[in-house]
Amino acid sequence: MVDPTGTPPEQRRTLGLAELILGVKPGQAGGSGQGVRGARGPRATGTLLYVLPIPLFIGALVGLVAGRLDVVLADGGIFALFMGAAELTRRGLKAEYAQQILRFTRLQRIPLKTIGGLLTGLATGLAAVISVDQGLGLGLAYAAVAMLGFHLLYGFEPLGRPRAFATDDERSRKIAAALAEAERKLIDLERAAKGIANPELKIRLQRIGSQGRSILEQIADRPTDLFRARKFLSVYLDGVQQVADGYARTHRLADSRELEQNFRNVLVTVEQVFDEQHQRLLKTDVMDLDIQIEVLKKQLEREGIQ
Amino acid sequence: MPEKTQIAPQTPTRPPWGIRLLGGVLLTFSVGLVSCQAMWIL
Repeated sequence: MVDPTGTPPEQRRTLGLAELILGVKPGQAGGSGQGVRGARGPRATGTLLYVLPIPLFIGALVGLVAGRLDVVLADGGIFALFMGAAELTRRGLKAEYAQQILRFTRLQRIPLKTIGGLLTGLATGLAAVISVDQGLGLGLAYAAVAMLGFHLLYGFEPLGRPRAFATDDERSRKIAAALAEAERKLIDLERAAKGIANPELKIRLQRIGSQGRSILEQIADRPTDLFRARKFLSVYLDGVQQVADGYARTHRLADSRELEQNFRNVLVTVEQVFDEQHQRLLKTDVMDLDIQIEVLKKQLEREGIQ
Repeated sequence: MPEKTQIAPQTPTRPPWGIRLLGGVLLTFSVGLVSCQAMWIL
C-alpha cells in the first residue's frame, strides 16, 4: 500500500507522551550542520502556555455577546497577559536552546523565561481574583501553584550574570574570557558570510569559521595552547573578521572583480594560516606525548623494569 | 609538564521528565482551572 505522506515506514515516528502533554518537540541539529552540544531529549517549546488560557478568550467572546463590557475587558486583558507571558517564555526557551550551540559564549542578558513565569503567575492570580471572584488568598495560592508548575516544567533562569564556565581561579577565567571573545569574533564572521552572495567566497568563510572553532576546542582541551595560539586569536581572527565584515558591506555597492579577487586571496591565505595553526597545535600534542613516554621509559629503567 | 586542567563548558541542567510532568500537571491545574471557571462564570 502506498503511504499518503510519502515517508518510508522506518523514518516515521509516533508522538511521545511528553510531546503530547507538554507540547515539546525533539531536539534538532544546529542550522550550520553542527550537532547541538548538551542538547538532551525533547526540547520544550511552551505550547501549553498558549493553549491553557483559551477558555478565557472564549469567556471574553461570550461576554461580548452578552453585552458585558466588564467581562470582556477582564477576560480579554488577562488573556492578553497570558499570551505575552507565553511569547516571552517561548523566546526564552529558544534562546536557551540556541545557547547550547555556542560553547564558550553566553549571549542572553534579559531573563525572558523568568519574566514569562512571573507574568504567568500574575495573570493566574488576576484571573482568580477578578474573573472568578475567588478572593485575594485563593488568588495568591493559584498564582503560587502556577509559578511552581512553570518552574518545574520550564525552569527560571539562574540569578546573576550568565557564565559559560564553572571556573574559580584567575588563570582559567582569563582563558575562558579569551575563548569567549574569540568565539564572538567567529560568530561575527559567520554572520558576515551569510551576507555574501558569491557561493565560493561564502563557503571559504564558513570553512575558516569551522577551522577557527576546531582551534578553540583544542585550546579548551589544553589551555596552555592559548599562549601558542595567541597570534591566531589576536591578529588573524581579528583581521579576517574585519575584512569579511567590510567586504560584506561594500560588495553590494561596488561590484568590482578586483576587490573580489583580493578578498579571495586573503581568504586563501587565512585558510592556510588556520590550517598551519591547527597542525602546529596537534604536533605539540604529539611532542608532549613523546616526552611523557620517554619520561615513563626512563622511570621504568631506573626501577629495573625492562 | 603537560597541562592537565581542561576548560569544561558549563551546560545548564534540566530536571528529569517526572518533575517536568508534575510541573505540567500543576500548571494545567492552576491556569486551566481558573480559565475554565472564568469561562463558565457568566
